[in-house]
Amino acid sequence: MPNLERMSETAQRRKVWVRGRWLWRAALLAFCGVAIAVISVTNQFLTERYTETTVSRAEVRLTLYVGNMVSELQRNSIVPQLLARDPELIGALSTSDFSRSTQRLLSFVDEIGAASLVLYDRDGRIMAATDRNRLGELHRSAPYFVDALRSNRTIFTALNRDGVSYNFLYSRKIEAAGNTLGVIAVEVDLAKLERSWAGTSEAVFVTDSAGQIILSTEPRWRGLDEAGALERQSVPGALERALRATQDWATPTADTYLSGEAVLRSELRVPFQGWKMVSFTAYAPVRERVNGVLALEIMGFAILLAAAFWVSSRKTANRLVLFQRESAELRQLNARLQREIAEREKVEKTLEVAEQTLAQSSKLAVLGEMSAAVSHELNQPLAAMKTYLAGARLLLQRRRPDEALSSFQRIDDLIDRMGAITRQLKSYARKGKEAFEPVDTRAAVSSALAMMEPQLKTRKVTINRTLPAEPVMILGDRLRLEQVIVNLLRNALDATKGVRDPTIDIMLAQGDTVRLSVRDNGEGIENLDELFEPFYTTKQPGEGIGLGLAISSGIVNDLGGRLTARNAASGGAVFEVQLPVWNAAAAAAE
Amino acid sequence: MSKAMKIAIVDDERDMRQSISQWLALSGFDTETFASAEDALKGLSADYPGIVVSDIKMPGMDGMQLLRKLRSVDSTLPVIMITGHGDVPMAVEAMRIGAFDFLEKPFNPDRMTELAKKATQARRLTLDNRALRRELSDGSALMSKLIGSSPAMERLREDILDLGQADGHVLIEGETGTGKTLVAHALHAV
Repeated sequence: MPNLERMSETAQRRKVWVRGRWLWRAALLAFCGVAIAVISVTNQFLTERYTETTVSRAEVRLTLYVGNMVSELQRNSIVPQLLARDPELIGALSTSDFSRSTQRLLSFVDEIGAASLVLYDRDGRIMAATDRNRLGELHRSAPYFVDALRSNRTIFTALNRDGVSYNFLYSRKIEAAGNTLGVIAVEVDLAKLERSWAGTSEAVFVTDSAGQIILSTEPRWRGLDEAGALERQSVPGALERALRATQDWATPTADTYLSGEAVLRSELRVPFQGWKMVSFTAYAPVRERVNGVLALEIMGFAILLAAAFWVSSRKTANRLVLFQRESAELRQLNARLQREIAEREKVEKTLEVAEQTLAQSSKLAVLGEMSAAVSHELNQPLAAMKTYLAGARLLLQRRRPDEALSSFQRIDDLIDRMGAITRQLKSYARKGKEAFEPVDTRAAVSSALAMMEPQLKTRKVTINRTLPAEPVMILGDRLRLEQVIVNLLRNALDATKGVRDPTIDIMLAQGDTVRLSVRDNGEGIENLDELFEPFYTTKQPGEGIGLGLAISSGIVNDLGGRLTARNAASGGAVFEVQLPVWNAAAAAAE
Repeated sequence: MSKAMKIAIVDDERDMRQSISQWLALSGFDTETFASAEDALKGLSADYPGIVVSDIKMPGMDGMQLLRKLRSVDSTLPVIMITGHGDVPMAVEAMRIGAFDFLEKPFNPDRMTELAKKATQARRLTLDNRALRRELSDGSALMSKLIGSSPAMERLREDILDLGQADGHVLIEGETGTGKTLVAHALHAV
């Protein structure tokens, strides 16, 4: 019983465990959901935040660049005015002695920080320049020269010289006493600013009032407008590809794409000539930073999850230990059961052996009893025969052959009796089941009655026969079944010897078993216990040796049935043979 | 053998009875048969002039019971028991009770004749002796004067019968008036 309790306990524990596992799964799912939510919120928040920062920083930087540029331009814008008043240059132009003019310009150029200084005479010829190679060049129709001659102010000109790079020039005419002597031009070095932008941002360019790019960190863009520049930069299709790729990143502030990368466009008006400065700042640093934080977060979650898994696996391990212990107990129980079964089997086998031994010894006892009985039964006629024989010899010696002959007759009878005994003994010896065949019990009854007819005729006996209309089949040996019936009939006949109206009822019926009963109206059975013992007899010596019922019982047992006897309530003995029904269908199935 | 001795044969089996009866009759005995012990007891008296041959195993009263009953009727009646095979312990018991002898089936008929002869001789002697004594005690007038039936008187009468036939002198002692003269007369009368 305790085993059963333990089992139910185990089942309950297992149920709890299963429920726990579901809980655990739900918790894991919730944890993952929370983690994803946190990561996405963080992503969004940080992206916005960093984008803002990036944007503002880009704007600040742009403002700075613009300031730098404007101050550079302003600084240089004053230079022509100052140089126009330089007496030495005026003198040189007046005297056309430019021997010291180049020297003079060179001495200024480093101080000013300009790219170059050029002095033209009235005809547009370069009379002095910081770049000596240009001396003598004629720039009569160059816009900056022409405009300078026409204006009294300093003229700014952005000159696209070779389509790739722009020169920014401030030019002013040099006058002396109302006469135009020449033009002084200062080339502003904006390229150095351009260079200084290159490292900090993704791309910066400056457009003039017409929208043409005049300065750019991307040299190829110069001379193009913004759209043209972007087109040139990106191969057709790459843009869309980039668009598609970046849509997932949910960066609504991504204005444009550069080299397939999402970039932030910032624009600032330059307070000079209607210029505009545009910068593209890459999102990559934003993403990197956000990703860095996200990676940290994910790592944290992963560590948390790992810890949870560790705890859970610890629990599982504990549970496993529990289960193992339980299963070990179950195994022990199982082993014990198996041992018990084995022991029981052994005991059963021993019992079987004991039963066999018992059966053997009881057989031996029966054999001993039987041999004693048989030798007694045979000694009786032997003794009588021997005596008769001795008597007959004497009778013959005394010439009384008739009496001797009658003695011989007696001896003959005795020999017959002995023969009958041995015949019965022979049939007591069991036969095998090889000769079994389906037998109609009705036919066996009829032929037994036919065999008994001579004996029945000698007396007045009423025989009531009740047989069913259908065949009553059993599996057996017909001759032996008939022997049983004959035996029962003979017993019934003998039992009714002293009765006034001898009656024998034979009844055959088929139910679960085949029942054949033989009933007489004699005195009934005195000793029911010893009835079936071999050599038990109530008959006179010589009339029966008490083997009939023992043999009949043996035969019925061999046929798988049993032979019983009882006293009827109304007097007389009833012998009943019960035999298993033979079923043709069942036999065929086998 | 002035007169054939009788042999009572008791056996439940007809053939045994008849065969033994025939055989013993042929051997010169006067036989009679009984089918059961009960019948035999009815037909046998104390002075039965013969012997009894009985089977042991019989339905109803068996041979051993018959033997006991016969011993009480006449303790000197010889009874020959016939036993079946394996009944030796019972035969020994029968001898202890007082059977004359026993035969084991199947027996030799000649041996039965021998036993019957011995038994009948013994029986004849016993019966003769008994008759003689009865004659003596009846015939002497003097002996009848020795009255009394006490064991002492019985012994005295026996002694007188014995001594009276002996060849020798007898001295009778006794007080006056105890019957010395009567005993002396009796001695001479024997």
